[in-house]
Amino acid sequence: MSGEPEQARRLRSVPQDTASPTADELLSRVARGDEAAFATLYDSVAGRVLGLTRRVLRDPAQAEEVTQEVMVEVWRTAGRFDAGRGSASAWILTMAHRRAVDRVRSEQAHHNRARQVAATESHVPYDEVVEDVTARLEREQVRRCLGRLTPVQKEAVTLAYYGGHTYREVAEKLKAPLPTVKTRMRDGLIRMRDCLGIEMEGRA
Amino acid sequence: MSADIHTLAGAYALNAVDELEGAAFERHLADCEPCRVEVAELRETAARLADETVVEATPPGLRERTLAQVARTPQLRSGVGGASAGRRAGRWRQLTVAAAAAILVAGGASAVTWTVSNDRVSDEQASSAQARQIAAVLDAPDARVFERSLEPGGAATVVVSRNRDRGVVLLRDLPEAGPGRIYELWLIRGSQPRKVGQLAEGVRASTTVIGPVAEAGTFGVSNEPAGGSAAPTQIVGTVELS
Repeated sequence: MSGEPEQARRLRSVPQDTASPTADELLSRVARGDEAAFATLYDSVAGRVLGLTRRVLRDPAQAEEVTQEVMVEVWRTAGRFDAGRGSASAWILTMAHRRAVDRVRSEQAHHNRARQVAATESHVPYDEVVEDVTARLEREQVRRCLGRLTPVQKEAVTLAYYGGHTYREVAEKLKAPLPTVKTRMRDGLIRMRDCLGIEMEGRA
Repeated sequence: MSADIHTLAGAYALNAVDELEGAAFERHLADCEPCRVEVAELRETAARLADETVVEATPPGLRERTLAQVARTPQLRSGVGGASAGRRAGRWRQLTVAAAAAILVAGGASAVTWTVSNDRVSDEQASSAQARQIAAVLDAPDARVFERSLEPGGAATVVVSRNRDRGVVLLRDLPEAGPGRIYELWLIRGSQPRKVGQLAEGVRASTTVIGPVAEAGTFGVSNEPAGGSAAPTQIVGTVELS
């Protein structure tokens, strides 16, 4: 089901700029109580954590709350990160995504999901962040690989990830059977994985 | 385990499963090394989708607030166990103890009260997810409670919500299963048993979310060889769920 690998050589996890410390290295310093390393780690991931939580929550104020919560949790639990099970940035972003969808789902239960749009944020002053070339290339790679999914795979994956929907909700929205939607999500992610060249140590 | 649950890997990696399914899938992962690798890779893949959302200018106030909070927040000590599997097992045990200590069953079909000791589980994401799954069953308006002593000793309490299609099984004070033997949990419909869980070797108490329960008439515990059995060979106790 997977597409052809984009690169012959498989990369382990997210490619990193060799000049600056990787998120993994920073996180292991954070685990030893290094606040300066935490600040550097914050600078390298906060843009994605905030972007992701905004996309899922559709509310800038709540996204900031969740971002702060997640980053403090990263600091608190850094010692429990297990590099054998994935990269530091995936660990952080998984946590951020889970918190954002938990919040969306608990709010939906109370029928008061905020539906503000990001257009209201312009009065907030922002740090200038210079995006490095590596980050831009990585982003383009994600876009290209997402483009390799079939339209129905892409729809299922993005409704779940960016929309914060469960696969049952996705199935209802798409009027598709549950097993079909589960399969689209798995096949879509597998195809993306192969396109991005992600491979954990230990895969047969 | 079944191929069916394995197809949840994508939805699970996208956090697109509900809590009960997430718990069931995590139990599946505990027994399936290739599945853990696949899930880790799909998680890694899903996380890359966040690259698309990156905010290039983050609010300086957020950075200040976060760093200030970090400066006054103590860190958790890292786990004593080295291997991740050991740590995962540790979390599960911890919840089991907390939940077993805390579930109080009041007589009457709908009167179920429970608490889970929050300070013991709150810092464990996996555990709090489990606690919520248990809560979802115990808080269901149609939750019913069934209790029975088991033949060799110990007792089983089963809380069933037909609406939520899930149950919570609390086993306590089981005798040693014997060398190379374990306890397995079953739901029985007519005369057809379906395996819904198993305890690790040496484990004599547990809190387990089971399901689907809709059609099941009986819950059973059996004593089996450590590898597990396809069907129960030595039932040590049953609980009628009606």
